[in-house]
Amino acid sequence: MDNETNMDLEYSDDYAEPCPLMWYRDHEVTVQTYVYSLICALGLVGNVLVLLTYAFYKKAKSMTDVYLVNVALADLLFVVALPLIIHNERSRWSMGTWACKLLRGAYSMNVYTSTLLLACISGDRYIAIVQARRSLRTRSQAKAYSRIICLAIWFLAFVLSLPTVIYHQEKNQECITIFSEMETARLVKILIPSMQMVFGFLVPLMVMVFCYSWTMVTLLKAQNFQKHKAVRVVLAVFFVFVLCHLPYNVALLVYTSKLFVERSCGEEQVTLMTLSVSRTAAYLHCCLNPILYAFIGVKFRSHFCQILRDLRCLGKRYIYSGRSSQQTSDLYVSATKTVAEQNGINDNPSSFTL
Amino acid sequence: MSRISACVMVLTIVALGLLCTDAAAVSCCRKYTKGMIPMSLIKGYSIQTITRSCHINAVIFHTNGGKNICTDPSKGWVMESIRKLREKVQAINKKNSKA
Repeated sequence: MDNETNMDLEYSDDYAEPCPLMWYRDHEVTVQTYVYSLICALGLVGNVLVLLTYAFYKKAKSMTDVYLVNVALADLLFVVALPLIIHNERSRWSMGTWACKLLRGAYSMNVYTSTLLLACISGDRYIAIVQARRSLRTRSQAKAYSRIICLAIWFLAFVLSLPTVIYHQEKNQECITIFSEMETARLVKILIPSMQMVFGFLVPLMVMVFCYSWTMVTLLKAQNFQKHKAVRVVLAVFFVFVLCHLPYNVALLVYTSKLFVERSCGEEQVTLMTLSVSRTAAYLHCCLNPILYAFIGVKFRSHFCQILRDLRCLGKRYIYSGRSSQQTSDLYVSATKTVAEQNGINDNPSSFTL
Repeated sequence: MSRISACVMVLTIVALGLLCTDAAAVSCCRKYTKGMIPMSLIKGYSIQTITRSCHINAVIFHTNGGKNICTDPSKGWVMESIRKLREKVQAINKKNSKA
């Protein structure tokens, strides 16, 4: 028996033991709880107010307005699901397989719809400002397509989220991916994060880089006292998108590239912790969207203030009967007019409102 | 705005507080033991596959010292050890059948 004990000690340095993957959660559960609570609260308030504003005060008349309503809906869907997702990440899963599928699917849907719609908004602004002359005649037609584009994006997000929904199951009170075949496991475990990186980040990012670059160039040429503010808006929108989503996608890329190879327990733990922290930053984007996109517009803010006054008075709400701007952001209306004038278009300003 | 936001925030924090409980431990082999494990130390084994939440296939040997050791199922000595464990079980099965 002594010999066996000695042999055990002799081998102890060389042993590879199972790696506890969730060790870090004990350390940061409190911090993340408060951050998530803040995200839920702000996301809930912000997106509900955006929807209220559009529902009662400001009709969605431009393509950007339609996109913004859909972004608010997507973010609201996620913010409602987030408390339940948090519950899963901190304790044994007690809600069964279908809740597991739906909640994982809700997160996936939000990533795709939110980022792709933001890319569409940048495209709409590009058309409105850079292609100001050419877009005048086709804008009324293009507006009719915005709802179709939104439906297409929701459908695409649903299709891209299907693998997540199909393969997530509750097992031993954990919400995990379960496969019947090893080859399927190998394929889908690469496919899900890859699709998320490509369609949830890279494609929207490239569209935004292209559209906002040209928008910036055009704005800087314009002789307009508001151009500096508009440029700052474009920069803020772009950099917040990158700051929120880039760290998570880089961590996801590292994690996915080393998925099926041997690596040390320490490396794996650091990667998982990085994923967890950067995912929190990505979550943050859904409560920043109302601020970045909706409340920047002057008219939108006046409608928003009116909501607050009405809520305070508990009075009856009035449908806004005044003329609505074609653009959510008045900055872009001014820029568009200036660009149009420079291009020799002499139509009166009312041609910009449809 | 501040009142609405404050109310929603408080309710959210309370709800989350109620939801938080202890985290479940999840462990996976991420690396294989390089050397062989003497048969005399092995008490039993488990199987890890990539069809669940772990990402490499492994055989986990349970040893007399209470350790769980990750090994590569493609190694010959690993399959040989499992075969010997099976022989032990069959021997016990025979003894119980005779009793």
